[in-house]
Amino acid sequence: MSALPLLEVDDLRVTFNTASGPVHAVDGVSFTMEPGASLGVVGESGSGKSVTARALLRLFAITDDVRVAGSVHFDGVDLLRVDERRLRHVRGGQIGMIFQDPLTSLNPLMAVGEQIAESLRLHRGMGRAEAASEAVELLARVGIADPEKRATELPSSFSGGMRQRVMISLAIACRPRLLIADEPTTALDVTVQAEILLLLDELRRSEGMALMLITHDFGVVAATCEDVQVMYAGKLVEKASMAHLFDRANHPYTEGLLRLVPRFEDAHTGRLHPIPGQPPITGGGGSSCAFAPRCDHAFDRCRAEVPPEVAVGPEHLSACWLAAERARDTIEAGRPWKRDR
Amino acid sequence: MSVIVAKRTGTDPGRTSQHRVWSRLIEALGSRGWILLVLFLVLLVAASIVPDVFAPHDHETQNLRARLLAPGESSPDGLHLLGTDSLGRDLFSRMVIGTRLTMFIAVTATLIGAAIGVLFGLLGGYFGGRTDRLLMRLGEAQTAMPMFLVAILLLSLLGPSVGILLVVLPCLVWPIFARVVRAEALRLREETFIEASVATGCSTSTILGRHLLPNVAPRILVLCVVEIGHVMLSEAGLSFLGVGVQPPDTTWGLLISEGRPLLAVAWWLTILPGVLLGITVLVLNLLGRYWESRSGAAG
Repeated sequence: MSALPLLEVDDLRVTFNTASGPVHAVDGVSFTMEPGASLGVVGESGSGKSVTARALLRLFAITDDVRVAGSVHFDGVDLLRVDERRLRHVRGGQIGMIFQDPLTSLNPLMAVGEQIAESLRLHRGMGRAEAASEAVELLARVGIADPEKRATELPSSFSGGMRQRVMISLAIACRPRLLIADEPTTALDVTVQAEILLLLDELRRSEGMALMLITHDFGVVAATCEDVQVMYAGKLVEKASMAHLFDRANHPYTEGLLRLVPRFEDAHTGRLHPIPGQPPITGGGGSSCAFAPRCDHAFDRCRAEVPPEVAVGPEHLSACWLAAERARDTIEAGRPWKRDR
Repeated sequence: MSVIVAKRTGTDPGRTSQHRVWSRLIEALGSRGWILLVLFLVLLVAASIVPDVFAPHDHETQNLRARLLAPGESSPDGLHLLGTDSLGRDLFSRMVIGTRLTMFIAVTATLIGAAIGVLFGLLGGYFGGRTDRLLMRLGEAQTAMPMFLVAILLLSLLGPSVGILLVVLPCLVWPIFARVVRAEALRLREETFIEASVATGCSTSTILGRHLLPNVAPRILVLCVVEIGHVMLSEAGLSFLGVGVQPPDTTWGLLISEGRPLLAVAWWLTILPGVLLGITVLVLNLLGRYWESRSGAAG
């Protein structure tokens, strides 16, 4: 743990006021990221992972009736409280963002080089010509062949994977210190997916930027991230290093997610292992474990109280009553922490 | 004017059959027909820039011996292709001269209306909420008011002038532009690339001007072409009623108005400028709808 974390999110809460009442999309999320770290955020649709990422940059639609509480310190500045001007400087300049659907995330009527140049001129104060040549270089960096010619073309002449590369070059154009990728490979086919992940990992290392990767796919996280946190119903349910989590997932939800990844070994049985039930729509805000209704291990306490985050290993947190009670038992029994499942 | 009324009320029952007529006309154009339409417009523009090239006679020279000549008759001055008026002035030359002011008023008024409508539409569509409601109610109030009557009132109170026409006529068209642009902006703001440009740090004005506007521009252009025709009709209507353009300036509408008392003896003075006006409006409409159908099919 070095002096100052790059990103420090503390008790972030995002509430949407909808016609059918408030929806707690993010419900008290706290985490930190060191410079150059790589963090995977995993969860089902509606678990609040994308909203968390958007809240960092206050990227909400103007029409959303949204309330954001808590704090997001980036480089010591609280992004939730800075004025719009400073925030615009951070957006794109310090924090880059990549979106899920590369087919719609570029302006269809603007040459891709021009779109990259726009960002360069905005944040790095480059002149027209300088920005244009830098844009070509950036396109080359992300592996686009014949970048000089391609820079003048419209997004429609690029394939999905190529467009995501363009999007990445746009996001890293101003050498951000944090890159947020919101399901960057979901819309791409598997081989392209691997290439894009490799590229992201490479860029993270060479640029020394931190990467926050949002996905529902553990395979994607495993390939690119050192740390991982699992979200459910607007809350973090488990945090650990990637290797640790794969070996000793603690939270029943994480276990369920890991079982979801189809395996070759299971091919002959032809069986998948879905988690029964649906995630709650209104997010958290209740007075029980949000996962209890779908959990095989749930007992009375799960339905009565919100579970605390407990340490279940070195830098491994889990928000589960099972873990909490077990941790208490181990302490009372005076035994060293040991996992017995 | 009935055309305008039908247009303003929006979803009138005749809409679908009207639509069918238009698509059949566009079909009849084929793939090359639009070149003819453009050629016609080019001629009009040329006539308004260098009328002397097209006008065989001076449009103001009176010749009482050559009064009310029918189309095709000749005077000592030469052939009068479209006849002469009650002062012996050559009708064709007067129509050519009138083109300039007719076009100028229609184009300028449409552009002013388009500018207002596009701005309001972008703001309303992008921001939504209270801004949107305010701007759209304004447009509806405007549409609900019989603007033509208001225009007549204004023009008769303040005295007719081209300047006031350029204030009144844009009021007729801006709500149409605002509605179309708003609908497009509503659709586009949900697109990821708008969110992406926010995430890149673009300011709101950059997003509106550089990312939203170019994406609605094709629709605006098509609408402009169609609306120029409608504004032309409205101007003709006002001039016909005597509250529009005043002599010695002339427009097609004014020519129609001047010929009206003589309709029984010199039909050409009313009918021919009317036919020209009608054809022009038709051509603009066809061209606009043709482009719209092409761009719609393309993507």
